[in-house]
Amino acid sequence: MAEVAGGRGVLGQRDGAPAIELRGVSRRYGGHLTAVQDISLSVTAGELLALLGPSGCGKSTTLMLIAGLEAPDEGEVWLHGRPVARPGLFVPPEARRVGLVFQNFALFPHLSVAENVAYALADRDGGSRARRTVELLDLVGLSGAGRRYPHEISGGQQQRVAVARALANEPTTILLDEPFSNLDAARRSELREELRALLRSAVVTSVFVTHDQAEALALADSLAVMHEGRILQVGRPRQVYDEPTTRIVAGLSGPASFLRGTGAGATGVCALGSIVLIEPAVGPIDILIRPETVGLKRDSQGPGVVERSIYQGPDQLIVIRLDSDERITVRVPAFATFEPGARVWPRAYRPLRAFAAGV
Amino acid sequence: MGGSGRDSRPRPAIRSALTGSALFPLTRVRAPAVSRWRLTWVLILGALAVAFVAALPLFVVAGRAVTAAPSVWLGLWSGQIPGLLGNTLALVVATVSFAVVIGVALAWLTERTDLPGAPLWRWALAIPLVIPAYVAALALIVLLRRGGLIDRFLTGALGAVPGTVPLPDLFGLGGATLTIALCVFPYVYLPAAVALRSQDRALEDASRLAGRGRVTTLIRVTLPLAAPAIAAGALLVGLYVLSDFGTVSLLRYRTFTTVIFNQFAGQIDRSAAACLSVILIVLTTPMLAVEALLSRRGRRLAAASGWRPPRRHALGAWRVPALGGVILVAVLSLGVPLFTLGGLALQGWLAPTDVDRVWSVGNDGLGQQTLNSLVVSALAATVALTCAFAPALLAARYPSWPSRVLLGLCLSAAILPGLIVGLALVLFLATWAPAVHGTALGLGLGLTLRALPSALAAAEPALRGVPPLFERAARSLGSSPVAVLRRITLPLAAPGLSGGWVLAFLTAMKELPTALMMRPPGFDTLPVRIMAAANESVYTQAAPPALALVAATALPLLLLARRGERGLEGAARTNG
Amino acid sequence: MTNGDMILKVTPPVHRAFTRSGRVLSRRCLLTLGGLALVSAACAPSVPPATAVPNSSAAPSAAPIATKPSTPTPAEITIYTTRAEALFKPVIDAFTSAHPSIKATVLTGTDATLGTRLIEERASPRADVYINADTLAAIDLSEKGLFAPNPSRTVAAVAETYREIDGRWVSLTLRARTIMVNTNLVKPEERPLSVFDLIDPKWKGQAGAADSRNGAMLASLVAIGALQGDAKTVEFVRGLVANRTKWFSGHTDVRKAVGNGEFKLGFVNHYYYHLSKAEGAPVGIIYPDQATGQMGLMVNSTNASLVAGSRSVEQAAVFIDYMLGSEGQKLFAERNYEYPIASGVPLAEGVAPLSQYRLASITLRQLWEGLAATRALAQRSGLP
Repeated sequence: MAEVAGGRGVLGQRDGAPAIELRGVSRRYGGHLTAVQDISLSVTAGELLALLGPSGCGKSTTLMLIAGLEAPDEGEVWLHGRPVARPGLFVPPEARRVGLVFQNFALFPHLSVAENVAYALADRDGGSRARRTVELLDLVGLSGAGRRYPHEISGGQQQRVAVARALANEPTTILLDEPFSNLDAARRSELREELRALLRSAVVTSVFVTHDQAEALALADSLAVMHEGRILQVGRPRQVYDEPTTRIVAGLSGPASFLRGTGAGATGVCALGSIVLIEPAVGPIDILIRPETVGLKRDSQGPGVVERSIYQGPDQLIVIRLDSDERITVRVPAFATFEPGARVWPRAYRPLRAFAAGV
Repeated sequence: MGGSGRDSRPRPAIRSALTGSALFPLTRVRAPAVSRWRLTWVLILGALAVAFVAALPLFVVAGRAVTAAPSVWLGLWSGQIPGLLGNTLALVVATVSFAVVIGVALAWLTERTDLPGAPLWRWALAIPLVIPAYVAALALIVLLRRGGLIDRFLTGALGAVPGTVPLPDLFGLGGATLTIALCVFPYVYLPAAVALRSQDRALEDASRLAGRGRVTTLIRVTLPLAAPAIAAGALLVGLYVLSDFGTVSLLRYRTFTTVIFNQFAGQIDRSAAACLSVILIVLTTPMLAVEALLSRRGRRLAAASGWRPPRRHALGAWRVPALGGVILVAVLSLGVPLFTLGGLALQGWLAPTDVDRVWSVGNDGLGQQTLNSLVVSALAATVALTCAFAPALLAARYPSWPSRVLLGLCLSAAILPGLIVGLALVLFLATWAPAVHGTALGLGLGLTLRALPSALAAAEPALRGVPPLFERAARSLGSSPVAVLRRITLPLAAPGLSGGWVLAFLTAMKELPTALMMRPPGFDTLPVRIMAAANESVYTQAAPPALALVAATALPLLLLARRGERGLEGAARTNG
Repeated sequence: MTNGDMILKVTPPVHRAFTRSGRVLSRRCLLTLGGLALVSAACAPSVPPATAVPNSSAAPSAAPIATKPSTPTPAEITIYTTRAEALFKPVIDAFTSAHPSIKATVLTGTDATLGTRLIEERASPRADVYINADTLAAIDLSEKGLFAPNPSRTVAAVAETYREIDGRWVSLTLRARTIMVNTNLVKPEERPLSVFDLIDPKWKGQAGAADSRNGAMLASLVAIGALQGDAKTVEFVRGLVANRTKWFSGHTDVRKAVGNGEFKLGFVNHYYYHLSKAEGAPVGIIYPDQATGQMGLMVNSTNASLVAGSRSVEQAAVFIDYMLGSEGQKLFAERNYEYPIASGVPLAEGVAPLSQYRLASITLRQLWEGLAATRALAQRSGLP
């Protein structure tokens, strides 16, 4: 369903215009520092898109451009089939009906939880405002906390208040800037599911920004990988993970090791020996090794030595130093024992993906 | 080396950090380490001692007021008191309002808009602090009174009958308000600027995304968040106005301090003065309470992670009027007084009249007087800051009502009129420390008490702003509580503390009534010289010491500018 | 050794205190010590050395050579005075050249600051002589026991109405309460002849006077009350207020305003007229209430006193005698146009002798006795 063509991506469309559309948008700071370079993106209504990338790749800036807190230097931004930013036109953020959940939640410290949520409801009369506030607090599961102040509630609760506030005005789009980075890791997966269910029930188009691969893969309906201001690939999470178009996307979308090798058509040669390639390639290649695609066998003739093992509970990651001085990481069940120094033979379970060296 | 980072922290260190910390409130103490108890008690005793000395004038006054005959109280309430109370309150309200409006507006312009030349304005709008209000009053009187410079100029230029050219009336509520507000607005401007500068961009963005426009965001988010800092500045302005004596006497505006002073004219009645001073204290208590309330709210507004500086709004067509307004304030508060004084000094030097020649003899020792001022003020500021440390640390670490009462006692020396403070100290020293009485050290003590609140105002937020986290970390690494204070707390609080020194130094340099009362013969400070000449209306001879005062205060300030600004910034930031 | 071990290995905290941050503190200590040193150097001369007090019964006017050791050590006296510095300095200079063995230090101020200071520092007085220009304040302080009796013969030679019996205070010069006019604005035939003309509606908004902060003004009111009854005082005060009189804290502003033409009349001490005239202002003077049945001219005085508990009583008495002597008196008469109390001292040019005028029949002491009541009355009637 996804089409990838030279850095642009367009998702499968449903009826009507896409909820969010960016067309060739660029944004520079100070004339020389380019935050976002010529990106184009299209988000279907009701979809949950994740922008994944390392720090400084421009994902937060993209969010700000959609929200209207920054203006693009080039290109156009469209919301629900209407232009909101283009040369000669700029619709201010308060007019865009977009909600934003900030990384540090940005709850007004001088207002109570209920007042924070009601802040967006100024144009309603008292009665309807109170009703809507109660409704929203119920929606996020904070019914009794209306009178408390932001500094009196936990991080997870603060996030929910921020979401409630962003949803108050019934926006058609909600943007979330690294929503989980400020929460404790222990509850992260729980909170993730809660937030996803919340967003689904609110029936909004959501875009969230993260540098956490697992989070992006778990939550998103579609995933856009960004690097140095550009969108490298857009598609379903499974697709991006399994079929990365470039080496950089492979590295950004999941745990990855690379081996130098030489392609000879359908197979290639590398430190692991001869391996089958998914797509035929010739010449110098970088072979992608995902931890779960390789198995280990103890073999005194093997090309690699166990360097260390990282215990993870249900399984463990074994770091192997190959004779070619490269390292790969392999996931094995927890009960398997591989002592450091043991010689092993890693074997690929299935054909591997390769990229032309230097891509 | 094995294991991930998780279990690498040694357990004993955690435990000692928890129990060995100097920071748990006294009520929750578990296994006390001897050194921690010793430190806490030293702190409490130190704070008590400082508060006791600082509150000596208050005790003297309260004692006299309590033992005053009822007839004195009754006599005070007849006649002019209600009117003068009204005058005083009117002046306080007007000046505070005016100063807050100017200060906040200017802070917003320099910190939140694209005003051209903002760094220059930030500096120029803070400098009026070095000009005492009575010096500004002097300059304005010379310019605007009947027969003054502007009157003579306009009469000549327009060829009008002398005495008929319309001039703004300086001698009244409007004149007094304008004069004082133009000198004290930096007390509001500086903390407001810091508060506006340190707000998180995300808050205003959140407001705009909630559908609120720019103006609503300003009123409902930006200003309320800066309110504690603005309130602290407004309190300083209010206290200044209430205890001001020189300015209102020059401008002939009759306030409470005038009435208190009158009790000593003709027939000296100290008990009446004491009663009035007690009323003055009562007047200031609501102000202190309001500020304490607002600053407590301000403590909730901690800086969040991922802080980004706020956006600057484009002024567009408003750029020119805004710039004009800023320039107007700078000219009125800085340019006019300096220019007038410079002109007066030149006139007295180049074209002296007989009176000038006679009076200039008194200014021969100008260098010595400047040195006197500098030395005794620097001494007072240093001692004040050192003394402020104990009560401030106590209030910052153990915020409960006893420590706030101690703080209030320390502030009392600034609320009482300077004359009263000087008198009480003279009494105390003459009775208990005759060797110090009548010496420059006695004067230093008086100035220290008057400067103590300024030092406290900066020291308390600075110390409060040192996160207990760092102190706990230091304790876990084996430092004793005293060493933690010296190596962690002090250096981290240093910017705020040095801002406190600067404020205390300014206050001591400008202090007039206490210096009048307590100085030894032959040891004059610059404010004394200024008022001596101004009281005789020999303005040309009041100008040289006034200029010397401004220069002597501004130069150390500029030298400490970096640290001072960061310090004032730090003080204001942690104050909300 | 792990990193943690290395960090935990600490040097004793005391040692640490004198390293990095310790230096900050010791720098501050140095500053304080340096400041203290400077300040104590500056204030050393101001601490009066304890001089031996010889038998004070010896007549101070006699040359003290007989009772002094062969090499006289310089004695010091401290003078608290409310007189203007510019005026007083020549007097000090003259005294020092006449009596080089006595060093005189002056502290200027107002009766409010200096008088209250005298009261508060009673336990350890710093002053030896108190000289002021407000009779009422002088008598008040005297009654409070702050002054010592002055047995000097020179003091005793002054008329009794102008001193306390035991010499606790003595008048140095006199000043008359007069009305000053701007000659450009007031024609000779319009001139007021009595202080009560000031409440005449024809002078509405055209007069200036000192308010209740000024002792001379209060003394005038007491005189009116004593000589013409309290009702007259009330009428006078109310009349002044109703006439929109401009109020000032001191007479200098009044005289300058009259000279500038801001208003036409000023109720001032006589020498202010002379000071303005010397500056070239178009002013004239009226000695009021001279007609039969009218009050007479009111006067008050500048005064000198010995402070009780002073450590240099003998030298202080010498100083007061000097001020009562012809040289001291001449300085006041010449420089400030005042009326010297000693006879035979010439007045400054242009000053009309007091003998020409009929004085109000009230003594200085009576002025003080009526003060409290009059002040309350005046303030109730609206005197600012």
